[in-house]
Amino acid sequence: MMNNRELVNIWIRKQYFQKKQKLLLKKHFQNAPPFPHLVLPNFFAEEKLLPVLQAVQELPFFPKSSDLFQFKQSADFSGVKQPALREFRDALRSPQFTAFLEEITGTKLKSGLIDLAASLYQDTDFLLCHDDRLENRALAFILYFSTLKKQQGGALCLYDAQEKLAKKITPRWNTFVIFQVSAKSLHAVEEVIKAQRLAVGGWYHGR
Amino acid sequence: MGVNTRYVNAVKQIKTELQKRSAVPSIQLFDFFEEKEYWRLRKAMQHLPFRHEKKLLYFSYSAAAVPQHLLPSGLLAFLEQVLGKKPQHWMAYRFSWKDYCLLHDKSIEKPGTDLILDCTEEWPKNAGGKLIYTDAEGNGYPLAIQGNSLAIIVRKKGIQKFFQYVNHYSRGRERLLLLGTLEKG
Repeated sequence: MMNNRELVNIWIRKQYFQKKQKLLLKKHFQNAPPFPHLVLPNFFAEEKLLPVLQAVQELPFFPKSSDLFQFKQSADFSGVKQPALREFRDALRSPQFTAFLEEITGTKLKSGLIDLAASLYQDTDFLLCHDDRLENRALAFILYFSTLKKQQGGALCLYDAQEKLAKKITPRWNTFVIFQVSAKSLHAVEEVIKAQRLAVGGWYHGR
Repeated sequence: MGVNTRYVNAVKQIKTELQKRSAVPSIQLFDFFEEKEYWRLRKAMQHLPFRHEKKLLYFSYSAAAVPQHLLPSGLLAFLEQVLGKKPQHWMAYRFSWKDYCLLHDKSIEKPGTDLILDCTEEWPKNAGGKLIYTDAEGNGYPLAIQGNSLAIIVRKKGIQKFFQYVNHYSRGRERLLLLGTLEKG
């Protein structure tokens, strides 16, 4: 089993595991308006992420649409065979990484259990506002593979309790976003305009 | 009268169509009004005092109440013949870029009959904005987007509707609809 140091060296950029930095992240997470969240740029080691991107690009995507959304999604990574995706999933659900997230979010998470899939938003795709509450989800996460310009849409929009737009997070390569799932976690993905937004995302469950 | 004589003379067939066994009994009558009447009604609708309304988790659109005197008398007489009564309350809706109306567990519609008068013109096919009925199994039944059409939809138990998100290809254009509802009973 990997220890924290190994995990730092292999998957996550060193700066995120420094004690001072973790304390700062914890403070930022709890105080981030409109609800607890973090935006972590350049989060993963590039040499580990590039094979994941390549494997994700080879996955089959299935169109999903309803009154609330329109986009394409892969199957959950629990069933994937590509070594890069299996290794990535194993890292995200490892006790070390889960402990890291618990430390910076103050949320008790079930180690080993995550939902993880890739999503592809193309021209006119969208996800309207909702709160993500379902089946004991505690922490949502998104890792962007695309970098979009503001005018191309695709931003993660966070809303406050008065249902006003409070923050827009424009997708950027290797940016890891996490937010606490609660009745307050109102969010949406704005319509993508003549661009592609590729990401992986999912949820950690509470214990 | 104002209503296309093709339909005035086909009331019996329309009633039969609505009584057929189907998941969502409905009929959509194209070129419903005589040309002149349609454009008069459309112009009158465009001048209604629309107000934009948004409840983030439910809907975003512009709406206005429709005064009874704006409705062609031929429409109400036709509906009375087909449905046995005429709706008293009509609302006009405008949907433009970024508008929508979601299905929601907390606002389930009672069974009844919807009357949708579509006054949309020059709508791009790829702009979204379809009015879609869903049955209890989640199957979708979209209405065609066409100006001067009247759709009559019998909403049985479990039938709901939503208005698909309007995307950026709609820029500068709007869906214009008139909705009358008859509750069952």
